[in-house]
Amino acid sequence: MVPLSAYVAVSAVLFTTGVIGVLIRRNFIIVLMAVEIMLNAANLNLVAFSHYLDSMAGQIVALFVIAIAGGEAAVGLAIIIVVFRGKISTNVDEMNLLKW
Amino acid sequence: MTGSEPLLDYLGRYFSIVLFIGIALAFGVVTLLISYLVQPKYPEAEKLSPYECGSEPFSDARMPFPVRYYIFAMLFVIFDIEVIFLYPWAVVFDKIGLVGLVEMLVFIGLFLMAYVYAWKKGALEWD
Amino acid sequence: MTFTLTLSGADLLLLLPEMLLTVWLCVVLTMDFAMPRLPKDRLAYLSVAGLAGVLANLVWFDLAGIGGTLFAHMFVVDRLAVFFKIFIVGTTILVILASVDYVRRFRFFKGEYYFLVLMSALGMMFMASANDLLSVFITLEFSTFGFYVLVAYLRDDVASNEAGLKFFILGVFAAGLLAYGISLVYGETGKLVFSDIASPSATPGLVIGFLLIFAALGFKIGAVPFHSWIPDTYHGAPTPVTAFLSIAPKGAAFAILIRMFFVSLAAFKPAWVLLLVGASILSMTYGNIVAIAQRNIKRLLAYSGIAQIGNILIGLAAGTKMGGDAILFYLLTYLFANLGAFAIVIAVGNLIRSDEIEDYNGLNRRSPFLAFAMLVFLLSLAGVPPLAGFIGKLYIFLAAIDEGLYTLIAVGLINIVISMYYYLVVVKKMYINEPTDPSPLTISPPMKVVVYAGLAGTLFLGIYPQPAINWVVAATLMFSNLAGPAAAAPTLVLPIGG
Repeated sequence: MVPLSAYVAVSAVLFTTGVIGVLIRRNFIIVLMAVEIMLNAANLNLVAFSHYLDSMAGQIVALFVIAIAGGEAAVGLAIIIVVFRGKISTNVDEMNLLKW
Repeated sequence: MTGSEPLLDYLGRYFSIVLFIGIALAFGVVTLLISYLVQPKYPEAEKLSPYECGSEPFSDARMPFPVRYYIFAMLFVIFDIEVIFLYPWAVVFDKIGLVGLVEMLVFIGLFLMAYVYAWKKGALEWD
Repeated sequence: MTFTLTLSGADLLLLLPEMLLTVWLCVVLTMDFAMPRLPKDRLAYLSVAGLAGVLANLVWFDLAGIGGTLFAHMFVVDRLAVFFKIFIVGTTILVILASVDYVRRFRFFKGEYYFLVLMSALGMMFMASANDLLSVFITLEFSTFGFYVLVAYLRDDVASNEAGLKFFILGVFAAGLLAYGISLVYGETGKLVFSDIASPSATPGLVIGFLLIFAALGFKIGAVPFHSWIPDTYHGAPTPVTAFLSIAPKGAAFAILIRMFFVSLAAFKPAWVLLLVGASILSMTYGNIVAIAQRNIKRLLAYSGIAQIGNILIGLAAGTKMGGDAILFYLLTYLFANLGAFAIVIAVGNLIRSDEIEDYNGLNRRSPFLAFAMLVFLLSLAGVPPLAGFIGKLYIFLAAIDEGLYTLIAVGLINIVISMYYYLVVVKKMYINEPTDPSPLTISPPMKVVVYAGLAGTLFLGIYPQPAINWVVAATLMFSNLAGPAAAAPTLVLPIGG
């Protein structure tokens, strides 16, 4: 049987990957994908804990996280379409109009 | 988790995670290093071009295509994802009775509302 | 495993305000697409009518003391939740009235604007009632989705697009942190409800989990060091959305923060006081110092908002019932003063199409009413007696004195002096400088209602605060066990007005 710590380890690695992806990648779509990785790290944790603690709550939370991640992807793509029309670029660094 | 556990014992149980991260990192680094050291390097234009099922690439893959695809994709993602809530309901619907049924109908009714909105606004027209 | 799912009439009653608003926003959306020729202003007034009904319902809840929990304690109705719901619905009504003129500028999707505002308000009402970590996650995202779209609403304005994108990236990043934090806390305790996760031992998973959740809520309220989206988002968003974003979500997030710190983490108070003191000092100092350099009024109010959040965090750091009271009261004063100031910015922006502070030169000559109202709102934000902001700051400092947070109070006092400077620069421009274009400015009736409401609230809370104090003291009665050493007196007697 796979120990709980293995799941937590994979989840921690996924989460770190996601955070690093958001912080260093400059393409908006890749940033969005990195956030999805972070959310999936949380899901992995929740499902693993749910099994080991023998409580259903974690799985229910994971379902909601999936649904919300889908909503985020849809809203994010909508915003990027609008931005793309105006600036013809998806690079985060070129977003420099607003400065003090 | 028990309250009286000393911190060191607690961290000790997570030692396998540290070990795991170390092995995972070493595995990736060593593999990449070996393949970098032993690979033959003969770059040429044909090798670097994208492979498209045997046919010659005829244009840049990053050409613009209608934004309508995105709108369909987004609508699909939203309606698709919401089906997720039907699964847990389907598992227990015989146990939660009429209240569960009514709640699910309200949920689907709200979705129908969104669907009618998208329809009326012409988001589902292809041209 | 057995399941029971029952909803009695009494249970449904607790959900009545939210159900009313849900039905109402469906009505608004349906009328928008089913009657394309209906003037969109009517939708605004329709929305306000619905919100007024919800408000009446909430006031009834508050007076009758209706309360309880639903859905396995996920959703709670108590006086604290009702206070925040009234706060949110009141803000939404004023924001919709302030939007009427602005929305006429939009070329497309005028009706959906009101729908999205109502949707966000609904999400925030659920936030006020969130009583476990799952409902925190859902409601936080629910309310923010509406804002993502609203901030990027000006499709042809590159600044608005960019603001929406920045807000979105940091918002979803915060959502990722929140989800992971929740998963860790769940793993350590096996529970989600706030009162159940009050664990006596601080295991590493629990500490990291709560820090991640605090970071996500910190993004929401815009406390330093999680403030980086605030100035750009406030600047680029349509001004009524900025006004909405600067007030209502902050209140809703504080509802969650109060429940989390006062219920789940009460046992670890010595540890989190340091965290909150740090965030508070950084927010106040950073917000006020950077505000001095601003030339755009929306950015000025954005940085001043960061500083105001720092002030409110003082109350949270005090961690007593009185601290909670002070947060609630401060939020009320902030609502009237900040919304009023943004209403002036919206009105002036509609008329002269500019948000630069330079263009406020000689506003007194062009419209004495607007200039006077702006003067009152800015002085209230700065904390000058006898306006509401003064009582708010006094209340929060008194709560901190009880807990002996003298460093925090010293920093807070220095910051009041700094903030006075940049507020008075705007006042000087309005009253002393000569206008470049002396043509008089007039404002529309709905806008006038908002400005009068702001003025009335600011003056009333400043001169006669006792009813509001009684209200907030009653709203936090459940935290009486957190009373600090000097909390023997049941109500605060203030030096003036009370």
